[in-house]
Amino acid sequence: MRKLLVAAVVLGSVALSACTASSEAAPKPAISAAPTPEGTYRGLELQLAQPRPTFTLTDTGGKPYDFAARTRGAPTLLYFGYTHCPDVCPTAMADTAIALRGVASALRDKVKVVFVTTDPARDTGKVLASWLRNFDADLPVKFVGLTGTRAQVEAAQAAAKVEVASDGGQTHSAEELLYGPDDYARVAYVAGSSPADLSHDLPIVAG
Amino acid sequence: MTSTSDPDPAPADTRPRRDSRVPAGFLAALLAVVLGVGGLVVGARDQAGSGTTAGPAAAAPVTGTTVGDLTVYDAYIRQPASPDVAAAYLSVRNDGDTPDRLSSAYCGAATTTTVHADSAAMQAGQEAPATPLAVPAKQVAALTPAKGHIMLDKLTGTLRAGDTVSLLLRFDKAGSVLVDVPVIGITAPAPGGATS
Repeated sequence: MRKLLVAAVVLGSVALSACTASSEAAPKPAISAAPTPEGTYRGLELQLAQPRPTFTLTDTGGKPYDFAARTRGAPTLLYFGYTHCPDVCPTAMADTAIALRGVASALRDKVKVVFVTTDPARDTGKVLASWLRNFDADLPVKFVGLTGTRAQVEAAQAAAKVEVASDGGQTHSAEELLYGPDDYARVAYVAGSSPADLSHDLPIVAG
Repeated sequence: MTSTSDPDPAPADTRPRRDSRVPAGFLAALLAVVLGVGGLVVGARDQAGSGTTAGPAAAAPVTGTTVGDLTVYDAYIRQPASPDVAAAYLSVRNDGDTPDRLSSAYCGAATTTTVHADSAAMQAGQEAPATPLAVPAKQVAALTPAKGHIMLDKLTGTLRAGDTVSLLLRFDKAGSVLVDVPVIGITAPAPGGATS
């Protein structure tokens, strides 16, 4: 437990320095990093636009998945959670599925949904695939499930600037980040957001 | 979404919408059952109906399972995506003058059943230790997604939409009550109008 905490703290500081580094290094086209007028979104507006993170994990078929390359330019929902979660994680995925049904098909077909496990010890590709099929079965776009070593999934969380999970992945960030075609996230969905919030915001973010 | 601690009139407001999907014959039968149950707990019903109750518990009668001054309603389990773990949600209305507490639960469909009513921990994404649900006098308390649930862990079988699960609830003062909980579809609307 103590080791885990230390790891989290160290990673936390990595996340912080990564934050500083990438906000300095990130391209700054005035338009994409510009703040949006308050009240634009129904989701939780981020104080700082977050660039789409770069990490490579393993998809449910066992193949490498380069998140930045595979999702670049597409409206993308990124969530970190675990399948043995009774409440928040399945609710987030169910709400995502409901929200996607509530937007025009032309938009829905473009959206990518990526679920990264915080519990790689239990969430193998097979477990993730079977869990995700419960939510996307009737949607044209399949949810992507990613796993890796603990270090890899923690690095992915740090790259996305969410709180790195602890307690075997059970204490994790409950933020679902929405990146736009400009590869920035300005809004996130938390426990308490409704599917209507997401279906309201998707067309705005997708432009 | 309903709140764990705040008074919430939503279940009563949205009830007709839910009932409108139920076949009339079933509704009539249900009404008969409810009236029958009501007859057994005349004291509690009279209290609620006579205007002596203050606060949200007096807003409207609810259809549910009654034990003492408590009525358990809008209970449901969402069909789990995991083969191992599921969550039950419900509302409890306390028509009495004394606070009560849902301290534990038992369900034959799971190896362990625990009440988790710590909404702050849950919203932080934590799986907190079991915490009882306080049901203040003359109030409605609810377990709703991301704010509280009854965790059914190590499921003994598969739960599918359309199934009904018996859930034993143990209240500190009102005692134990068995509630039939429907399993709803994974993206189906929740009873009582909760978003999910």
